[in-house]
Amino acid sequence: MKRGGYMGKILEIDLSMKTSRTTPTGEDLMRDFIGGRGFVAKLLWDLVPRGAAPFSEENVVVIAPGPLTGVFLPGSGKVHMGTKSPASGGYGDSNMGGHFSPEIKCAGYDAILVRGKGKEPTLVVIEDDKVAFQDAGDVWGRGAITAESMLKKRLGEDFQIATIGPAGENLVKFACVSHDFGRQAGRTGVGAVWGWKNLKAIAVRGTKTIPVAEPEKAFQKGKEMYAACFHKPGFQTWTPYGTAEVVDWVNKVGAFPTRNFSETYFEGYRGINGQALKDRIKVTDKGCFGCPTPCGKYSRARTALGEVLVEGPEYETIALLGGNVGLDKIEEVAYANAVADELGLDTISGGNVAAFAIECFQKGLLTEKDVGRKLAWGDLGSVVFLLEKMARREGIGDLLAEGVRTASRKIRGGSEKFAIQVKGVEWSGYEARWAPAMMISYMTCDVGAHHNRSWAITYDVAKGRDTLEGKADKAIELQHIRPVFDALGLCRLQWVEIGFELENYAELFPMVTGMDYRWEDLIRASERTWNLTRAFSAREIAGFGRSYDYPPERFMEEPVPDGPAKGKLIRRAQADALLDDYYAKRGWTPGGLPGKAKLEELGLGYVAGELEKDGYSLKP
Amino acid sequence: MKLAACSDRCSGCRVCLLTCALTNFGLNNPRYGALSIVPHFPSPGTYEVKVCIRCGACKDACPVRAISELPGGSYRVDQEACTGCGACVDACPENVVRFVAEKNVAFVCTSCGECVKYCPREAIVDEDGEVKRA
Repeated sequence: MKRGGYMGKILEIDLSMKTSRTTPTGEDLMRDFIGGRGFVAKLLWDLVPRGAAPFSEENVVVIAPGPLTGVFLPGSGKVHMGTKSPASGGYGDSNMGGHFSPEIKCAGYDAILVRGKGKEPTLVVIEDDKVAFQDAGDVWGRGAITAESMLKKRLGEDFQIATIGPAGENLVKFACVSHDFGRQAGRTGVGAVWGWKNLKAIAVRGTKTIPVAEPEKAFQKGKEMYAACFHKPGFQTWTPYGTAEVVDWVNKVGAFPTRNFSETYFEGYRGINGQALKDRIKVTDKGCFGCPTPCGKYSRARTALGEVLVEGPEYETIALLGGNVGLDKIEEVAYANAVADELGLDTISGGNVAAFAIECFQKGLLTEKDVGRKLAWGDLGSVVFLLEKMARREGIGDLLAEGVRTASRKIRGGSEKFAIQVKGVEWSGYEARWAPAMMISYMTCDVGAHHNRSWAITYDVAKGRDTLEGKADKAIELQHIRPVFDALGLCRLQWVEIGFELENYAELFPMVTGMDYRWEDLIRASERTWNLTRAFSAREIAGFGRSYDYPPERFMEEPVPDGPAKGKLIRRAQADALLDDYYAKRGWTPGGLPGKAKLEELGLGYVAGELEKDGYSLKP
Repeated sequence: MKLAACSDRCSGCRVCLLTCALTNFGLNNPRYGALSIVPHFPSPGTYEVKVCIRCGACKDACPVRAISELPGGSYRVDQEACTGCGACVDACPENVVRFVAEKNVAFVCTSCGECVKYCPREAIVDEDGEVKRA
């Protein structure tokens, strides 16, 4: 059968030499790793030299759409970006919506690799086969939103543009890449690697047609998929609020990050929930490419500090820059969101770091002299001050820009216990002391404490929140399913939020690609990728394994003080039991490394050899 | 069947463009959709949907008279006669006439109504009420 979905080329950019070239997209790469996140994982394993510093010419940024990106089906606008993470020192990636990904496909590429370091601030302009390196001096130092605006004026509305803000330029370990005025690849510090490489922005314009193996069948299937989405009950109820809809539920189940995760129910949540967003600040729905259920809400908000226009706030921002810093007005959360977006800071990590600093101040571990002002919960001024300081690495911001793990090691005084992170990456919006499946998901997520690989909290609520039984299995199942979307270059929210069935994607995949794959084959590739990213971190971080998989001590030592989850915590012995179960089910060693037999079964024998060189034992 | 745009409902997803290109040419390329989504960001933060307004500027601009008016009021490019010169593309005041590279022809909205069926936000509607979202 004819091949489709893939453009057949990978674009390699060397910023040091200002050169680019293309290589054919490898058959093995497509067969074993599908695309998107799978490509990121495999290309980083192959191309980042062992031991290369995250901030080095050798480190590579991989930007990869998937084979279904840009194709006619719901949610086909996602791109995956990965690099050796400056936050964790291991495997890092982040996912972004908008229109950047289909544009890369239409320009003719299945992935873009960026190496080297520009001698001066650089803008890479990709127009189909042409790649130009332009001086980005006029946008360097500008906010991410401002820079995108300026570049759109310069190049034309036709270009899709990804930029970094000052946080990326200043190598903040949780700097994001920003696109379409409010979509971000936020996590793991991809933006900081761009900044180190003097890469301010990539602008893409693509005019090519994406080939489809069986165009008529695929179009027909795509139409059925859209029509099915339109008739799901969630289609009407979810979209008006977007991700902010879950604020109420997360509070009801006692899992809402509140004042640096010291509590899990925020008394002011009604002021920052989906209803507040819709009634008080929303201007328009703002969707990614191909999306029938846009979660993006573009808003206009007035506060005492001024008025902002911002995409959002999304749930994660509401959680971490809302409840977690004690802000109880949606306008103020939107304001903090806008500040973070312009600075190019991940709102999840940025909210965590701000909350950590406020708690340190409350406990006397940071003083007014250290900080330059008083810090208080629920004070927008404190939050904005901290975001600006960290993005510019001024004063206390220089330490905070390293993230809570490093900052707590310097500040000490017990602050390590409330540095809410795993593997150096701050915790996203679901407190999990009373949700073991969600807890093991966070503990074992390959990029650090992020929910996107397994959002298992609904399973905890449905199956009993105290039992550990079956929780590791659920986490593994979801860690395979959800990243399939990241490999295909799709959004998973039609499946997660309105119950659109997975079989649809499996059915469409061969029609688009011409590859005779079933759902199990996609899951297999997903498991292969999972083992490879784990191995990447083991290769790059000496002594990596089990000790990197524990939640912060706060979750193991401090029972939730109040609210629906009152009295709950996850004891260390329970965390260990979850890990034992998880590693065994994965075919990993008790030390948390992929077992040799598992690696060989997945066709990753070469990975086992590399890890054994480091002295790791891979016997389960 | 007459297209009308309700810009305030648009979320910028561009499903209409792909639907159009696939329906009329079988090509998965949003640039071939005979509509236009103009984003206005960061301020005021709105989308503007442009559809064919049946002004006839494309017909008037065509040097080989390949564009004719259909009985319902929309226009059609005779793909055999079209030389692919692009004069109609430049003449369109709404920027909704397309040049399809693979076929070397221009394309003007024929009011087939498929975009109405697949616009998730009902931002493109049939003024005559004959075609509805799928």
